[in-house]
Amino acid sequence: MLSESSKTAEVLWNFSRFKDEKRITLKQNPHFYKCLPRSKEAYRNDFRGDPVERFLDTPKDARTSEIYVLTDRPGQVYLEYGQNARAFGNVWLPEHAIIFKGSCLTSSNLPFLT
Amino acid sequence: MTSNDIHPMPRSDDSFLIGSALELVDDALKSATEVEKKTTKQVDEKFEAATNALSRYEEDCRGRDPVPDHRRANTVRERMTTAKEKDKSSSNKLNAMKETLRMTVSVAHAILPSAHTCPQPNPDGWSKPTEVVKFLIFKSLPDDAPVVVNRERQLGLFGVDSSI
Repeated sequence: MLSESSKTAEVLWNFSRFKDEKRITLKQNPHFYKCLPRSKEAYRNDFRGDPVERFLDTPKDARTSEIYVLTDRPGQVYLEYGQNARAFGNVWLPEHAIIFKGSCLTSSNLPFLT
Repeated sequence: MTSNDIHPMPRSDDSFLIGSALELVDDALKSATEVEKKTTKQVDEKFEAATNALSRYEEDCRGRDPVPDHRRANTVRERMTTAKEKDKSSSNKLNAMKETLRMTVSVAHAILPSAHTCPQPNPDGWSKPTEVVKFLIFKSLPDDAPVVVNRERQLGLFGVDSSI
C-alpha cells in the first residue's frame, strides 16, 4: 500500500509488474490524469490537460475514483513551429482538435495535452 | 510561451540512447517480476546492463551540459548502490517488523478472548476502510473500451496493491 507521500515512481513500479495489456513500461512514458473527457466533442481548440504526480484527492463519481492513463506509441512526432521544435510521444485526432502528448510544461498557450 | 517552456527536440542519437536504455530497464524489471523474490544471476546481469546504458546516456548529457561539482547530482550508478543498500536495510527492518507484529497478535489473542473485534492485521499493516480507484488506460482519445485496472486505496491515502 502506498503512503500519502507516494508519487508517480511507485505507481510506475506497480504497473511495470503487471502482465499482458495491463503492463505499462517506462518506454511507454505513461502520464496520469485526474480528468479526461469521455466524448470526442469535448476536445476542442482550447483543450489542455496536465498530468498529475500525486494521486490524493482524485475526483470521484458516485462509486469510484478514476485516473486516466495515456501512453506513448513507438516512434515520436516532431513538430516545428517558427524557430522552435518539440518532440511528442503520441498524437490523437478526435473530432475538432489534434491532441499531442508531450512533456510537462509549466506554462503554455498551446492547446496541447501534455 | 517562452523558449524556456519548450521541450527541446532531442538529437536522434539521444532518442536512440534513452530509448534503448529504457528498454533495458523495462526488460530488467520484467525479469525481476518473473522470478519474484528470488535473485538470479540473469536478472542481476540485466540490471547491470540497464545501469550501464543509463550511465552512458548520463555521461553523454553531462558532457554537453556540465554543472559545477558542488551542484552535481548523484549518478545513476551511485543511486543504484544506495538503493541496493537501502533495500537490504528495508528487508531487514521489514522482517523484524513482521516478527514483532506476529508476537503482538499472539499476545492479543492470549489476552483478549474477543480479539476478533479488534482491527485485524493484513500483509500491509492493520486493516482500514478502503475504496476502489479505477485506472483507465486509454489507447485512443477518447477510448470507449479502455483497459481498466482496479486498485484499492485506504481512505485518505492513495494505495496501489503492491502484491501484484
